[in-house]
Amino acid sequence: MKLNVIAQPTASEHEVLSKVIVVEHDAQTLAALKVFFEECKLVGYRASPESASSVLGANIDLGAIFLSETDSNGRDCFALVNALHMARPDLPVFMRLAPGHEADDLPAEVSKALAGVYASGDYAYAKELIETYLFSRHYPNEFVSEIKAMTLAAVQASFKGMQVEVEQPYIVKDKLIYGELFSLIPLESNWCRGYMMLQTEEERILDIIRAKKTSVHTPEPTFQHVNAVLGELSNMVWGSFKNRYGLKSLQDGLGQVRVEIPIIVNHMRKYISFGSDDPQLCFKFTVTDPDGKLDSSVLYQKFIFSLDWAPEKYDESNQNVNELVSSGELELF
Amino acid sequence: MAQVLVVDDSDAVRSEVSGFLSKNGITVATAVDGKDGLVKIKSNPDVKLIFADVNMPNMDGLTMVEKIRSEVGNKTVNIIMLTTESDAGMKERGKAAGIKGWIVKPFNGANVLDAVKKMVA
Repeated sequence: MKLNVIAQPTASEHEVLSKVIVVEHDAQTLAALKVFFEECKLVGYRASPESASSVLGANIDLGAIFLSETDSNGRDCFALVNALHMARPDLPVFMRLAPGHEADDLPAEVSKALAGVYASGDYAYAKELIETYLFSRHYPNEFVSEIKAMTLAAVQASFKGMQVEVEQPYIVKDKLIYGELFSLIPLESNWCRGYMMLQTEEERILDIIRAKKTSVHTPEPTFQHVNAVLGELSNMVWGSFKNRYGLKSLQDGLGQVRVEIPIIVNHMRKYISFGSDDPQLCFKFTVTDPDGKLDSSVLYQKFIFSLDWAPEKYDESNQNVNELVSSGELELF
Repeated sequence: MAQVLVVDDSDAVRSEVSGFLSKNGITVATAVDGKDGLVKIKSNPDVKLIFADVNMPNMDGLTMVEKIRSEVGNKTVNIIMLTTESDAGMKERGKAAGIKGWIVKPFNGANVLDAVKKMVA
């Protein structure tokens, strides 16, 4: 589905953005939202009340939904609010109130489905809403840059002779799973604890294996060979992360409560929850055949620091992190 | 008769390393974890070199190396760890068990071929 982008903020390479859907008919408000989105690092995709559900269905890596209380004919959008909230309960919905309307005027079931409402022109409050619901976590640019570099090196090593591109990092509230398979591995340091997830499509990776562009050499690759490639890629990123940031000392944990939260997977809905509503940091890698013979393959990488996140400690200890390790060299003893 | 034993739980790594070595005329056996590695080294006493991962299920690579020296009693086989780990403490533990080298993944065969040929000669 081709998306109508109404705002594409300029940002430094490692600045974290978020993608939002906008259901808004008023030209003046759209112009103001464009400025607001660019200031707040939001990529805005425009949808009509009629197309909102299909735009939502075609995008599984969103941060929020902005919509107006009424459509271009003055009819309320309450049914749409409820439908969007039912479809994607993790996405905060922010509603612009019609002129003269108050939040208290909204039906109770609509209020429950909304994360917040703002009056036309009140972008200061709209900014508070997105800082509360979307950018509630600070991901230091340097950290983002480092984990992107680690992963890029691992993806390039896994898919030999393929071109690898990575989108601007972004914040995701969605908990939907891309493709048919994903890997999940715990990550832990003195200032963070959670998981890394890599999601992809089986058939695209099989194509790359068949083209002999991975380390697996077999005439008839199966899904287990895809598992092996994804597993080793995850292992390399995990190793780089561990070598860079170290592990939390077990001594630090003595006498402390070590929190664990069940991970819930709903296969029917392709949905995974880590028990936290905190925004997830997402990178989207696209692996392309320079000869144009293979379809592009997409890897979604998500970081879910649901168990501990203290970036101020990262900033403090940033001078002491280990150097990135040079790989592939034999160190003889 | 295998000259090299590759011990890694990753099918991708076993395939890559053994494929590279075979292409260069070196015979290879593989094992899927440390426990399997112990079995394979017992049944392939002529192996001259082992590539071993560290993080593996059932038995990690460093424990396997220590057991090769102590339980199996093979004091001479050359061992290179091939792993995502680069922790100094792990390297010291490996050195104490007599490993010959350490490679941080990914594997780059061209970088190690000369050393491998010397070790299996």
